[in-house]
Amino acid sequence: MVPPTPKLPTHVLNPGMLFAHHEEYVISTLLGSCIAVCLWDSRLRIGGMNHFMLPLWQGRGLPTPRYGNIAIEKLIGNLASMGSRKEDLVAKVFGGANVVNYSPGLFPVGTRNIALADEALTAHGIPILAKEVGGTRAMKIEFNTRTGTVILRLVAKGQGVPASLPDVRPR
Amino acid sequence: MDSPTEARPILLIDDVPENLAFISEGLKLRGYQVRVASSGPEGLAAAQETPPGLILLDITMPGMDGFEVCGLLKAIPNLADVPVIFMSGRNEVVDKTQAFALGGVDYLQRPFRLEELALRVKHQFGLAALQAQLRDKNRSLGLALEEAKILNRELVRINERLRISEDLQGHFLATMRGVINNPLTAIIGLADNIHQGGGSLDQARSLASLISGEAFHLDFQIRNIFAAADLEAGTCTPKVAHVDVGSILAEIAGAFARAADSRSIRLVLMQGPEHGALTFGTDAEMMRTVLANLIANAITFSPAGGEVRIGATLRGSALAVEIQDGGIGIRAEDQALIFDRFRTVETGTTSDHQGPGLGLAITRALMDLLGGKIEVDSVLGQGARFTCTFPEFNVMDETSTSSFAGNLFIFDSPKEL
Repeated sequence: MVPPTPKLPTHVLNPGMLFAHHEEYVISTLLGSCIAVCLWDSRLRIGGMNHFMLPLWQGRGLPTPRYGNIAIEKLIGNLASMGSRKEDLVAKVFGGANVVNYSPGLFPVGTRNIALADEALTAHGIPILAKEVGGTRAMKIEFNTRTGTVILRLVAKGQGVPASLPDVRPR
Repeated sequence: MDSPTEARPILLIDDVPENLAFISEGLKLRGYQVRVASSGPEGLAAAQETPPGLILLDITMPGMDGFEVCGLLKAIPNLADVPVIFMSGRNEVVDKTQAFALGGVDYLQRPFRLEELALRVKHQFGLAALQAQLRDKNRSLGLALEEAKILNRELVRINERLRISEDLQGHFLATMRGVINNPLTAIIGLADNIHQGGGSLDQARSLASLISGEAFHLDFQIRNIFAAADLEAGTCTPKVAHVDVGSILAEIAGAFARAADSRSIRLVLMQGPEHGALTFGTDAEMMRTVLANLIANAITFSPAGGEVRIGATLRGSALAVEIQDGGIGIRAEDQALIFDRFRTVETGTTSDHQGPGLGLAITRALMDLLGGKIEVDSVLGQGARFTCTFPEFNVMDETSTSSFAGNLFIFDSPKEL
């Protein structure tokens, strides 16, 4: 078991949001078909995480980090505003599980989210150091913004990805 | 199909028993399944019962001859593609021509050796297999083409939406100038009026009341702009607490009382403090922004002297808040568009009420963050009802379990990455 780190300030990241901090924080989030991209600056030792639900903002409603193409740009922007250079950033990518019997498009939303994360990070030239994506199990991750480490817990077998986590409807 | 045993059976139609026995024995020895029929009608019935892979058809038969059988076969949809090899002792060009004209694939001149027949049969099965492959390929190509078309149409739609969004953004900046400048100009003018004095105290009071109204409107619009900016930044986290829904609604109704009064619109609260406490776990500020925008819209789009009804009920573990106006309503085709940013839908006489078109986009984005939903129900000319469904929020447990929207998860042991 990894010992708990009770003293560190913790930020619980909700779907559709992002969080980055120059101090040591543990960012925790729960993922189903959503993707969380953890970006870490190996030079400044700072980091941030997003949690997006759908791959692309398609011009409807507000361009919020609920959408992958917005969420990744915003997170890079947030870190840049704290002094990060893009060449110092590394990424870890999590989530994108597929809810059984739920695929409104050609590919399930989890799969499309994974593809978006890959493409966007590659386009920015940010290397992906760790990737735990796909499958059919939800997971909880905890990302330390100082060390860049991620602690991952898969939901125990048999629970699958609950359909209510979160309610993703393409618009 | 290399192995003849995997092929569908061969149907042999001939009126001469010796021919049937001789040919079927020979083909069976080479691994084919063979079924026999001793007349045209019998052959047709057998073919319809189990479609064969190939038909060997004698031309000269009493009653229905081979040509007639072939013509009938080709008219049956699921048999039309079954290859037919004609067999005949007649060596007339006209027969051969007719055999091929009727759709036969081959013509065997009697007498023939079994080896020749077997080779021609094998050849036909090979061709049939290639054709089947080609059909499969064509079908998947067709599907791929269909998908590509769908994706292409989707791409065109997205492009159009993005272009519209850009246009609207330009329009938004122009509108914003009005939204900020007009009340400010009014406030400055009215304040100058008071400052220069001369009027009675009552006049000053009414001027101050106008200033207050303009300032309230300005404050509301600016809060919306900041809310949109926060939402786009993605950094506003719901702060979950037990929220007294009745007092939030009463507070918003109080804030908009002046705007409603100025057009004699009645705000009817079906869930006020007098209806007993209704507390609910959610983010008070987000809920306030959502409901304030919906109530502001309901007042804006109601006719003078109309009524805006606001109700809140618990539905299971969720809270539904309904806001009903008696206004002009929303066309069915506009109901999806109204949630787009910077979008205001023209429905006749509302242009004097146009804000920057952020309210509903903010409302929807906030409801997304809260894991809830917003629905609109409207018939043009009969008002609109907006229903927000808020899920009860729980505080996340930081140990080995987590809850989200009431679900409890148990996790495997962790691994470090």
